[in-house]
Amino acid sequence: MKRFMNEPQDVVRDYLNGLVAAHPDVLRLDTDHRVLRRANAAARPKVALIAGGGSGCEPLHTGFVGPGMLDAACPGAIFTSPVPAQIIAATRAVDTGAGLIHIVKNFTGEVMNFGMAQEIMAFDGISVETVLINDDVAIKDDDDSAGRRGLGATVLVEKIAGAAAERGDDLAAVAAIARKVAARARTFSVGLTSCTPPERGRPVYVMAEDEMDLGIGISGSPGRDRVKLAPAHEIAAMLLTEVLADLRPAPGSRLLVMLSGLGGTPDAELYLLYGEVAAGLRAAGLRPERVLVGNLVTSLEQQGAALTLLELDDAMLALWDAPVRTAALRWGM
Amino acid sequence: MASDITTEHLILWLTAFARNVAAGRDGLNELDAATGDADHGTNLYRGTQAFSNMIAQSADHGTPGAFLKAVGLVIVGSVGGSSGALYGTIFLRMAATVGPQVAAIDGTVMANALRAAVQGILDRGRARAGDKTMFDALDPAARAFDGAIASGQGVAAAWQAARIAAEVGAAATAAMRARRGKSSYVGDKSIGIADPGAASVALLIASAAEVMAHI
Repeated sequence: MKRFMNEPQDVVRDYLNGLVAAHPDVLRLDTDHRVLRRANAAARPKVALIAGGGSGCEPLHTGFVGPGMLDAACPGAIFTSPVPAQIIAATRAVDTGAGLIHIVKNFTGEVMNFGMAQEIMAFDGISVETVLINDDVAIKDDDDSAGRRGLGATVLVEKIAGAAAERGDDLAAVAAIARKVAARARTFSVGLTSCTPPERGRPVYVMAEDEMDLGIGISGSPGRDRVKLAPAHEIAAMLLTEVLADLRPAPGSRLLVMLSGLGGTPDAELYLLYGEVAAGLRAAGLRPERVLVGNLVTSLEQQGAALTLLELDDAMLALWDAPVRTAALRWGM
Repeated sequence: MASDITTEHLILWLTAFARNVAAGRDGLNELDAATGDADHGTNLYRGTQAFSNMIAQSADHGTPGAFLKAVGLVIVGSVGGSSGALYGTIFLRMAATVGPQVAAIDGTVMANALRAAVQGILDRGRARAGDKTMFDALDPAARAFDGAIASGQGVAAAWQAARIAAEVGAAATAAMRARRGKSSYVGDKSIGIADPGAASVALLIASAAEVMAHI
């Protein structure tokens, strides 16, 4: 393993220092609690959005803190959810009294730690709305698993609900649009390699050169099915088939299409794959109204991609287009 | 009573657990690599380091209940992930059962504390028997401890019974298909390898049996 690092156990702390050094206009770091929040507190009370999860998935969530998106993020150890004290500190730091929302990806550890944080805050009369993200169609949503993971839809919820909070919508309205986005977005992922957590020093697992994993998540873990590697147009068709079969968009729907790399796939390859996805969408009579391609929800340096489709309505579209200023997404301001 | 569990015994227990986790860290990571993200040993080690530091920083850790609570809070605050929440809950529920006042834990109270820990991970994780989780090691251990005490055996014998039950329970998870946690995402591929959480719970119980063998 070759990495830019000092000590393997310090990579999260050290990267956060670099992130705030690069974006002092947007970000502040509470080093003691490992909480990242906006540089400038809200000028007037606003609904606050807080998210957190294992590190190694950047820019999720730390790259999405700033005006128009998250108020605070609490990054855990690599691929390990944050702890309750961190979540509580993040929540308290951005509480203006207008309401609090935790955006929680449906991973067992994340759900448990946010749950414990909320139980503890309830002693002080602080109540928090939870918006659960579970858009991964690779997992059957039954009682025989931990349920669908929260993947790419997280970015779309953070952007769209963040814009609603920014323009002054109340808690009920922000929570409602967040849940609506979560309900109308689906994701399916394919992995070409595993990845190497710094403290482990070698890949989580090894896959043959001619294989790929269908239905992976975001921690370098194995996927649902291991199959033979296929040409990009076939992989695009697999991604689309899985997502569309579950999303079932109305004929002629306007879609927000996010094609995220998993950290180790270059932009050119992602655009090559997107070209195939776009052709497939046109053939299916669907309209890619907005498109976001890049490494957005990642697993360290894993090669692979995740396709997220959101069936848009006018309200979501306007909020998606609203200004945002974060380390990783920035337009209109 | 000579056979009661004092704070000193608990410190020995946790110190032995820290030693066993350090020695078993890579093995736990490898179990986790088969179906998850290969970090159960690393995460648990972070917690055992944290409570070992806490133990070293003071000569007086108060009553057994106060000590168990402090350990639970340190684990919740340092481990993260589901193992942090679940291990923290185990210790916090044991602390709540023992209460802050008593100076030593007798066999019956320890049995109740272990049953409360089992209920804690049920409340937090909604696991059932056979879901391939730490429940499958902790529940049989708590039952064995309870059974030994109920039949008039001492604390040392009860821990030995619990150790065997935990190890048998952990080994049996190899044949199970995971239905909770990250390993549930890979379906049948989880079959054949023991659950890392159940394996570390077996270490936890074995550590108690090791240091309280002559209590």
